[in-house]
Amino acid sequence: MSVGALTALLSACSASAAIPGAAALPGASTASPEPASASAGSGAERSLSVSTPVPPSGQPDDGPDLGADAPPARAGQVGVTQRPTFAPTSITLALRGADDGTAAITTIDTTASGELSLPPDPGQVGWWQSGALAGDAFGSVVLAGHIDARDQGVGFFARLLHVHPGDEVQLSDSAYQLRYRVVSTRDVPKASLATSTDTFSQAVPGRLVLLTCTGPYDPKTHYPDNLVVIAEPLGDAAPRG
Amino acid sequence: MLTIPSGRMSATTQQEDTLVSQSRRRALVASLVIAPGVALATSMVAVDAHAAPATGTVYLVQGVADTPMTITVDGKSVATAAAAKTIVGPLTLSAGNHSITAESPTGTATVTASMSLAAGANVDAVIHRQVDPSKAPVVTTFPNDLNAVTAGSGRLVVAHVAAVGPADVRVDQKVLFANIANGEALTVTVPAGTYKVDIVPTATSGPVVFGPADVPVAPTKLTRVFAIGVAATNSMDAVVQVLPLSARGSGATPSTVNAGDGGQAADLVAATHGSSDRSGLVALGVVGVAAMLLLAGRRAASRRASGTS
Repeated sequence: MSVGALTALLSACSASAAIPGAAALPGASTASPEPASASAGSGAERSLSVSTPVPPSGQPDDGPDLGADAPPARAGQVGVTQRPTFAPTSITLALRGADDGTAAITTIDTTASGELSLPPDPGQVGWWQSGALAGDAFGSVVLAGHIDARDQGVGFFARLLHVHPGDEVQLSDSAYQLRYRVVSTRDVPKASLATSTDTFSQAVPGRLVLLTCTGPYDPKTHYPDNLVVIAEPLGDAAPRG
Repeated sequence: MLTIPSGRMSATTQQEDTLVSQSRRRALVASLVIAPGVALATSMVAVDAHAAPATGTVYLVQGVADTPMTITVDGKSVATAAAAKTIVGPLTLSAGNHSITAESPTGTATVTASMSLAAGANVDAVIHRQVDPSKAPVVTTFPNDLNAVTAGSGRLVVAHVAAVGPADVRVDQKVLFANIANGEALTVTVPAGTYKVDIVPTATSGPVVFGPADVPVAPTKLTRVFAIGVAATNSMDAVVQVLPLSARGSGATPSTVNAGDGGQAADLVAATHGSSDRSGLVALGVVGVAAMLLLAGRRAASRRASGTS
């Protein structure tokens, strides 16, 4: 990619060019800011250029097990502070009351018409795959589920009606789990969910957004509002214990 | 995937687990979008796709600062006197063992290593200094994580292959990559943009051994930053390699979320959200009307009481 194209791409994304709220990153150790002038390293501030790979000047005579007698190359290791990330497959609500429960998560996405396609089974919850993974340093992990469904009754996410700040939510897959603490619940008219809120933002520090419906029910137009629950991660994702 | 002979097996296992679950996820997504009519044709394609390629892809990263290196793979020269920061590739090699030799013109810095390449793997083989720069260079292999990211994000990997102790990599003055030792890498997915990166010894705020330098992270790209050089001689530098990724999902933000059409939860909504804006206003209205009626009734009554006898 040319430098010009890269610059154009980057300026197109200028809304997210700053690192938003990096200070709030979980697990980041604190280091007091040091002025750039304190640099004792390679000196002047600069922009790193991307190396363009050069083709090999010759193609190795390929064959199996040509280098078996040489000492093995070192295998690059994953640093000890690596944060795991995962696509959640299960959600558990811990609501300090009778409405605790666990539901399976399936993968969902935005349809061509712009609607979020929820799992048809109201007993399940959908993870928006165009959003963040659990454990990502940035972005909203968006989960949505039916509050009820015509032929199937009350949905798992009807429990969100009982959620309050301070309640805990846990996401997991087969290998990892990550706990979140609810920081806010809010009713938003459906029409302004995407236009007037940052519900789907991928530039915010990593967080969890739970969505369902609410407001006075009308048999024709159904529910007028979305219930938006926002939760923040308690530390990093950890292997399931 | 590379054969990783020793070291932190737990980290390796985690990575493999993640890869396994990600491929399972892809399989799930695929099964969701397959219409029944094309299931047969698709499964035939899937069988072809599963016939593992017999080759892997290798990029050779010349990470020995200030020293040109001639690089040989399986006895064949692939780059002559390549300057530091040169990336040679992609080389398509058959799965199995291969030998990599790098030699400086004077023959003072020479390394030969074998690497085990798995079918379908995409690997960077980095020729670089050890923590003690008086020792011979080594070859370290890092697998490239080419899994998809969200449409507006890029995957940023920082690999420590410099002659310096464990380091923290600060991004815009915050420690985003903590405690990386020589031969290790850390990965984070970030919103696309330009980030100011510097490197300090772990758990300190200085002295800065590299940077600050602006690192551009393009959307749906893997950006790998290899910190190279020798801190003691002020030759710290960085090699940046960019590989394309695909976007996870449509990347489209939903315009609406319709999450209820049965009405079975209507009473629950009323009971728990009775104080929400809308119903609150209705309640206020009812109270208001009742108050006015009451007031009117009282006035009428008082008029009657104080009225004509």
